[in-house]
Amino acid sequence: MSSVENQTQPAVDVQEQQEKKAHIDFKMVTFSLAGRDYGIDIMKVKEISKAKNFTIVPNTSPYVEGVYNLRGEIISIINLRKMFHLEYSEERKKDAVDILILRLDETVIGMIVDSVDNVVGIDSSTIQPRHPLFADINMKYISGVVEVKKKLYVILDVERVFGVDEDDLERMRIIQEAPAAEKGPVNKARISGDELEFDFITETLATFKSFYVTDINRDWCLRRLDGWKKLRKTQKKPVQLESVEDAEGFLEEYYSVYTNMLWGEDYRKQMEELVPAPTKGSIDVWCPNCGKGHDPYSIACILTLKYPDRRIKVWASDHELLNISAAPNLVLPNQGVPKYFLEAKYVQATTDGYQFVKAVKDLILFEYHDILHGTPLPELDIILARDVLSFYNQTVQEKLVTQFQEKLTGGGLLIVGDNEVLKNPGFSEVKSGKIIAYRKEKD
Amino acid sequence: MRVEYINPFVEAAFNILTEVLKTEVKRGELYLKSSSMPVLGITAIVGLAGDVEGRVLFDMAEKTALEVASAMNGEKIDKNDELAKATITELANMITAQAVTKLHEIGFQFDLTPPAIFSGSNMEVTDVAIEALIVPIQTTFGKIEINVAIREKK
Repeated sequence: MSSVENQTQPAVDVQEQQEKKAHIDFKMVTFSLAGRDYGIDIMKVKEISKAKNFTIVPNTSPYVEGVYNLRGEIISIINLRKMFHLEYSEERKKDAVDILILRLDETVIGMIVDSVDNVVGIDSSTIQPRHPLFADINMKYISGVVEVKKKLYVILDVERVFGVDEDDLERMRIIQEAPAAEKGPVNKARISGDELEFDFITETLATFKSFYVTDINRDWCLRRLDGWKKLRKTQKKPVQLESVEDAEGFLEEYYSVYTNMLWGEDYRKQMEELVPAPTKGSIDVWCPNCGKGHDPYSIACILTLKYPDRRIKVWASDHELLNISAAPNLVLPNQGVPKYFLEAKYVQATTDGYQFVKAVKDLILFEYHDILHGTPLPELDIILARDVLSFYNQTVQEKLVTQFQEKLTGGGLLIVGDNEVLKNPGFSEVKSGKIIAYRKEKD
Repeated sequence: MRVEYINPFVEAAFNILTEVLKTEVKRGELYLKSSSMPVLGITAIVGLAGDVEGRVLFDMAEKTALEVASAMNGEKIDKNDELAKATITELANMITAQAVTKLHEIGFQFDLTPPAIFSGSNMEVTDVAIEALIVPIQTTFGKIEINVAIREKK
């Protein structure tokens, strides 16, 4: 990166550029964040500093790193990476970090960035409007984009990022996340209300059902909230979830088809289309949190039917002792058995109902196991985790997805719930009917 | 841990303790643990080999161990001597052997290693990459924790 002097002096290459340099009317402080360059109006920047060891303030938003004593003045320190949900390694905390100290009306606020680069002067007419392509961070925080010396700078609108007059950070967050700034004050209140309502639902789902709203299921939850509101209105009940029953009612439509049931003929066909062609003599499958075992039994039978000459091995586990203890001797009501199980003689009638024959039971190993304790398994061809991830918090979800990815062989398949969406790189989405699955890309 | 293994251990522990202690024995909630856990004071360990690999720990406070030993021998034992240790070893052997016999009946082949006893204060046990099933058993002499960690041989 060239020095400040170089940037502002007109003695550079292209003629066009020289002309523009002649009327510099906007100076910005540039910094980098997650490999991208950003600029902030220099008039908003009070100073640039390096610091570490911030004083942690309890009960603040996760992106508030703490407070810092700047020559007697106590300022809040915001971690910009965390605020924009960019990857952030806690390791960095040990060293002094670059801080841009901003003055916004009366408030002074510190903002941790990867590194502060430079001051760049530009002609404000060269600033181009924001473009959705740059939306690593939320579009509404961007006031424009400018190219200087072949480098693209995204200009942040700090007033919008940090709000103007809020001292309550939590309130500030809600208002900012709603695209209210463009719509006027009336709208603003309404949208914040909706956000609050959704936040409340999110909280109560976690409390009552340990269901965590994250990127994996947020779209479904937002859709469900609309339907839920209508339903509760007709029932003359409040929208908020007040009990475990309410939470269960909210999640009723969440569960995948054939939950706690053997898979029907339609599901079998869809699944057969998805399963990867075996690359070796055996097909290894893992069903974490399999409940009473309907999923592992179904997949074991479907695979045996499709690939009778391969060795099928299914590891199934659950951390609920009662569920998993019932799994090896699962009894099925007479009506609950799809035809193909009967035709292939995978089940036999007993006095209580149908049970699986020994040949099928031998394909599956049921374990009382908590997947948070790590699972030592060989390389897997299929991981069947329907409606599993949503019941763990964000951090655990991320860990589990990484674990799934590591355990799958190249081209292997991760099957998640009907209403779950993964956006992880390294997986490509494949669909068959209702089933959403993710194929691990080959290395 | 494989579901089929759980019940034999729980039943064996319950049966043997009821039989030898001749007092009321209650089983607590089973749970899984993967991190380190403190050892109560006196611990017997029995290794398992065969189709599987693993070990069973019988863990209790010294006071509990002495009272258990007293009850089993029909005489008062008030220090952790040879007899006390031999008695706890025997208890561990009896429970594990009965569990393994039950498992053998349903088709799993295990071998046992001779039990060993650890005693001391401030000890902890850590299993790396293997999860342990904890069977807490409450007796009138105090708590006995049975800690079973078994994994399939690949």
